[in-house]
Amino acid sequence: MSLFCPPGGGMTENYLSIDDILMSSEKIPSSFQVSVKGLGFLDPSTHKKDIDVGTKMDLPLWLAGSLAHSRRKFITTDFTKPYKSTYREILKADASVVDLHKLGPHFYSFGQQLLTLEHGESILLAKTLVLAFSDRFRRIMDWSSNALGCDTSQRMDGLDEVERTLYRIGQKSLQSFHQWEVGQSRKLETSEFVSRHRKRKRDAVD
Amino acid sequence: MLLTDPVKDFFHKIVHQRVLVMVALDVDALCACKILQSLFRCDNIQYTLVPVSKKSDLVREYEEHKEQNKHIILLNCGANIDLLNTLDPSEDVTFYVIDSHRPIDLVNFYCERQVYLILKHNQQEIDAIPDYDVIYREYDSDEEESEGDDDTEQVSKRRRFDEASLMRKKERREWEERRKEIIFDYEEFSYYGTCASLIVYDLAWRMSKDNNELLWWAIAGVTDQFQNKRIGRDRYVTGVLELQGHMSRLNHANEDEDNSKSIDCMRINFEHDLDLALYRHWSLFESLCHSISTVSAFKVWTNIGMKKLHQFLAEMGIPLTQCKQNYEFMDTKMRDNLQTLVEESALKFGLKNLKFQSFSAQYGFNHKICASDAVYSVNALLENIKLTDTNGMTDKSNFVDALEGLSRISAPKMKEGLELAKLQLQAIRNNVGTFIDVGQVLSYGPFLYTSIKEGSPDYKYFSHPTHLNLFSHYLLQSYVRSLGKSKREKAIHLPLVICAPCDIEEGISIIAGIPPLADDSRKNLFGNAFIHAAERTKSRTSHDYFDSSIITMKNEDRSKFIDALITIMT
Amino acid sequence: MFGEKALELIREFNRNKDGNLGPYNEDGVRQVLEEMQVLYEANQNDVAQLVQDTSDQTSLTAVQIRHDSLQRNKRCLLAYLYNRLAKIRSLRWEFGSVLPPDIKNNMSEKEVQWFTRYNRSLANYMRSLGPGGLDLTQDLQPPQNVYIEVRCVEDRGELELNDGSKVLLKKNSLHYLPRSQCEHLIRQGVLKHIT
Repeated sequence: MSLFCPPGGGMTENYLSIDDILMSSEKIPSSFQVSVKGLGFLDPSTHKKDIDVGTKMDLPLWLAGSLAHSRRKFITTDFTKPYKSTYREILKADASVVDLHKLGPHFYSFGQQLLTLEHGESILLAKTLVLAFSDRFRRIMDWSSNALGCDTSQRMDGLDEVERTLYRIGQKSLQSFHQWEVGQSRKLETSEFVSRHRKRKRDAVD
Repeated sequence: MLLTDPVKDFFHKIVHQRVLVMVALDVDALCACKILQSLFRCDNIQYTLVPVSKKSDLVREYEEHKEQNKHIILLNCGANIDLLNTLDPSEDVTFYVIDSHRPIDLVNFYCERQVYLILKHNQQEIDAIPDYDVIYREYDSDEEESEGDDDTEQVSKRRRFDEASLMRKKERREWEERRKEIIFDYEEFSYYGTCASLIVYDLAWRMSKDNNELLWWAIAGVTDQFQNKRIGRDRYVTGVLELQGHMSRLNHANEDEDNSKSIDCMRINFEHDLDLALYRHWSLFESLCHSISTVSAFKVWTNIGMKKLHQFLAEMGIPLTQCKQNYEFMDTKMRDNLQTLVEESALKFGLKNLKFQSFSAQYGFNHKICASDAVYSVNALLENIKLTDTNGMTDKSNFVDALEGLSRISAPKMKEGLELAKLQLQAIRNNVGTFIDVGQVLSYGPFLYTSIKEGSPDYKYFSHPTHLNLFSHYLLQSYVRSLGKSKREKAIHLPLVICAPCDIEEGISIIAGIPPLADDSRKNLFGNAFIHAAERTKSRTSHDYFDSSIITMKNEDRSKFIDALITIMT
Repeated sequence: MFGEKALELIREFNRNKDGNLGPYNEDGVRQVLEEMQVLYEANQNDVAQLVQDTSDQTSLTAVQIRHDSLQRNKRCLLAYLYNRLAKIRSLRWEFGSVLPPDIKNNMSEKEVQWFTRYNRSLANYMRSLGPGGLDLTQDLQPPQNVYIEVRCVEDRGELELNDGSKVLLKKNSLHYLPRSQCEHLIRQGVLKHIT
């Protein structure tokens, strides 16, 4: 999660969000419906000068979205594997055990962007995304608001970026509550930036 | 100068000032400091706290801070050293001394300004101080002459035949001899007076600012003195009774069911508790193996002793599995009856003084802690060897840690301290066993002597004064119990001198002397004896600790020093 | 693929997102700008041809792809700069008006200028508040007490208070001081608040 520009969430992207930029650079399989003159070098598998009709290529979302949306229908797109029916079945069976981070660090937001492309299974994918999220959310909330002072890095591993953000928020509020309980909530702290800066300096000295 | 009214003469004087508080590194001083802090907070008095572990520390810190602070409070340090002479303060500096070290330096007591002593008015203590006339006397100016002076020698020659002058001289010499004798008597023994925290608590009470928290610190201060054998049982009981009065005054509202306080307030209970180290935070078995009274009574370092201890447990009817698991997880029924069970079988095994009057504090539904456990914990934090061995000297973070441990009974630091205390007690127990098995305690005639070797495990624990002191008490008591009857009769009246490595690289050891077991007044004659022995042998010693019966010296000078000590004391 | 270099800038920023400000990647930015220049020129050419000869539509797709790439590069650059600025702004509140030299070294010349101007605007604004001005960087949490207890973490020499008296800040000494005087020092990690 970037500190200052949160991802847009939903179907729209936040123009300046680091997360959304990273998400939109992920690739989807597409095939060209028209030929493209002079840009053959974009396809590393051939040495042709132009891109021919029917060439299959993995294009980043930002490009694929634009090309598929334009009135001329330059390309058609497909879902990437984790959003296809096999994986959708797995998610339906038990979403909470799936390592979403492995399927794509921006699983939900990328999936939502896929919905904007025309595809026959869009509705099914949308349903799966909502179900998977609600399935997993309960566990995440449970972990994040009960694990005080333990090493949480392992649990974080299998979470998608959105979930990680939620997890961190939960942890933070748990910690604030604990601080309040032991009467430390009014304590003035060294700024995080400064303590990090000092630590790095110390490490450099050592 | 002695202050008669600490509220008017002390507290009101510093109300709008910035004060410097110098705190000695013992639990009592820290407790006093905590109470003072909360009094200062009430009146928005700005302060600076500085820990001082030795006299040299005191001088150094004073030099560094003297520019900024004109009002200086000394907690558990300074009473037994001549402050005006050692610190040479400018005229606008005022010292307020709240110290339990005795004897009080006479200059401090009789000077008219700058040094003010705040004491609890204990008639016995005041009586012990020699009268002003006995030590100070005005002379005519011509009698002030020094004898080595050339000019005056002529004059005195002429006067030699002057009868009156001769008489005066003789009288003066006699007076001087008497003065010397009186001062010697006064300074012969070092001991501890009323603890600092109790004095400061008294101050808070006089200003009606006392509450349960302050009381708890006062309790910890008194318990510290008793636990480290600085005062005898009599004095402890007197202190406890006084505190109990305060406790019932502060807590009587609780007895009334209708307007009892919230559970989240601190509650203090007075109880006859078992004198076992940390048993609420350890297992009963471990605690029995590490408490001074049971260690010495059962001789737990021997096989027979261990068997006897098991017998004792069997007598109580508590299964071993219960004894060996954490107290928290013991069967509640056993826990409730523990005190009576222990007491009954203690009678059979001839264990005395297994119970003592003490206090415990509770916060919410958990965190029950008794005063002696708190003292063990804070002491352990103060003498945390993990902090010392990084650079030889502590960087005073032990002081901050210990204050944090005291701040609330539920503080996580307190828990940390308890764990450290267990390690320290284990070190004590292991060493007591080996020392007695190997016969490392030797009788040197007027006193017993033992030394901790550099290579021995855990030696690092014993470089610290409080811990060394506690160890020597464990050792002395166990040693005396391990002797046959006739020898025991003799050993019970012998003091113990113990020597431990302090700084190995510099070749410096720390030497401590403790009074004999039979003496409940806890008066310690080693302070003076050490000084004389050092002077005689010109040993390179440093009498830098506030407690004069603990000194450090060069290893090479040790044997001649001990020899001289034997001669002096026989 | 186009836009890779710009993406690398974003990735670089993202790697260090929770840390302090990383060095300004001048080289990376230049390379992205160069790529954009190339894309722009190529499009100019193709568009000129398209206008002349409307029958050949094959280059239209290429123009669209290049145009998207240009937009993408622009977005990445703006996000890179904007997020850095946001971080620099928060540094003002964390470190105070003077930044440690090693952090300052990580900033580009323009960023330093921006920081100075931000500093000035903030100071002017704070001065304009109320009769005597109001320090917004103080009391970020509502204060409970006029005085607070602090522990000194490092040797800092003498601190002169508003009333003219001085305090010696030595490592591991404890002080009870006016909150307004130590809040900055606490944020800078010289003092530690004890509650």
